[in-house]
Amino acid sequence: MAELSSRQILARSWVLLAIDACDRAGLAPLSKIRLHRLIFLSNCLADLFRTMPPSKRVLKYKRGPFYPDVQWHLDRLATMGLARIQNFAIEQDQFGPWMKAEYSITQPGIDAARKIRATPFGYSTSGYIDELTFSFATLNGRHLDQVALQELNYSAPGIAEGALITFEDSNTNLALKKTDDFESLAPAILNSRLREKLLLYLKYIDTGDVAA
Amino acid sequence: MSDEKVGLILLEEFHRLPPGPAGDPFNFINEVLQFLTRWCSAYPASIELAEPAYCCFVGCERVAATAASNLDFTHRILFREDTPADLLSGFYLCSLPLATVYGRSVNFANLGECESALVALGLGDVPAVIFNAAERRVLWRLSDSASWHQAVIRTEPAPTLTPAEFDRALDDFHCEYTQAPDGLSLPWDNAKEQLTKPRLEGDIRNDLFIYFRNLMQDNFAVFRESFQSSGRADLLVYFRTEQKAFYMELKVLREYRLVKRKRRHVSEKFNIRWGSMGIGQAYSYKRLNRTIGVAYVCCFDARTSDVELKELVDLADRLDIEYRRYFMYTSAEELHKALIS
Repeated sequence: MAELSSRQILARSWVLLAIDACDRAGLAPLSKIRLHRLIFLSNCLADLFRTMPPSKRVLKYKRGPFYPDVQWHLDRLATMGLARIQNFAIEQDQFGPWMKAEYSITQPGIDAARKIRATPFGYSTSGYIDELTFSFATLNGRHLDQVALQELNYSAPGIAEGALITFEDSNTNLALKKTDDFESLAPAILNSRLREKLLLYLKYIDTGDVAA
Repeated sequence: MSDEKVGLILLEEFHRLPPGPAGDPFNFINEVLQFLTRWCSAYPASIELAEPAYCCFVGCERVAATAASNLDFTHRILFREDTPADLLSGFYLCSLPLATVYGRSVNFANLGECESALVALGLGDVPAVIFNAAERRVLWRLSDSASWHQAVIRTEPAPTLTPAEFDRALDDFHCEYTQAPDGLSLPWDNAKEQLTKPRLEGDIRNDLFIYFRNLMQDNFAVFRESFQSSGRADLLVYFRTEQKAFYMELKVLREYRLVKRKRRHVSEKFNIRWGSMGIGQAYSYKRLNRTIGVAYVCCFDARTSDVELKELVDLADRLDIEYRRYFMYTSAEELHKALIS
């Protein structure tokens, strides 16, 4: 078995913690599309919580944000018995053939997530992922899958399909800039309130019409 | 640079932000109360005596697994978003953010039957809300071991509250929740013995949070357990337009308390020290937020006599803290006597 780098272990842990958070927020089982979109949203605001996301680059794919690496970890987690795949199907849609699947966490996965949370990395990461996932779950269920597509970095003018979106420079991260705008209007109270800023940003992009 | 939409989102969402961190059961209570407020506004008709009036919500940490082991519950898709007309006579297993709900039909005749159904489900330490639509009354509890709280759902916003009327709002809260034994906080475990609920400060904090939320105002936001570098304020009420923050520290002054199941007298010295600690905490929040902050110490007084503690008044005065004392009567008769005297 090939050895994992520490970076890959952190990335796989991040994915497992995200599936676990979805289960606790009532979002599981969740489709592959929604999972990648949630991971994308977790990328956008990771700097706000000073956490290290699994990948700071994402492809603006025709079906929305997609992380080949995350998919690899997801399938390994299923093989390891930590995640469950269901409703697996290969279908044809307007973009061509597509492998549909839904993911949820298994009991060994829950146990593993608990152990990860007990580490310093797991504690800080799961704190952020939980806030993001539970906030995401409070958005309107009718258009939950649209939220990531309306995200400011994703829908920014000039970012064409196939382009690489990177979060390596926090100064160019439009999501972080927008959370600062909230602080500028309610300065005293939002200063150190990260989860409130996170939720306000999700509500902001959830209302749509942001690219305009 | 900010934009117009940021202002709009702040206006719509600021006063509705969840009270606790992700997974906090109190967020579930808050979500259900917001949902019920929407439901009561959508279906304002009164309930006839013979019609079903109750429903019950249970917050589950992993609702999919809980529902899978209770097969008579069916998935209610977009339940929260749809504000369903057939809400009553329902028993609902919910995810904590209320994103996923499973329900089954049960015709509860009274609150006791709701509680029995909760026990029969055997879910253990879970938050729960029981709704009586006839009286628009809600019973909620954070866990199996916590006491039940009450609230009444309001369907119309109260008159606009401004910072200048903050004291009036606190008086109204005391009147409705803590002044009498049957107030919505049900503050006494045993009023005759002058024993309050053991965790009354936390209970009052949660009730006061819900009271402020229930006023349905978008001009201020209330935050629970607001972290400051010098500690944790019980509540923080922030008026957006005026950019004014009220930091609140809540204390209970007692005559007796239970120690190892025995009723022990609480000395005046202890109450003064307890109240002084609250004043000290409030002062530290105020010092950190001099330009916008007002600090309140609200002492809910469960002592025998309605007598001011001069030491607390003097200390608060010296530190420029808003000190308030709210006396809690042990019977309605005593309250009435005090009101007419």
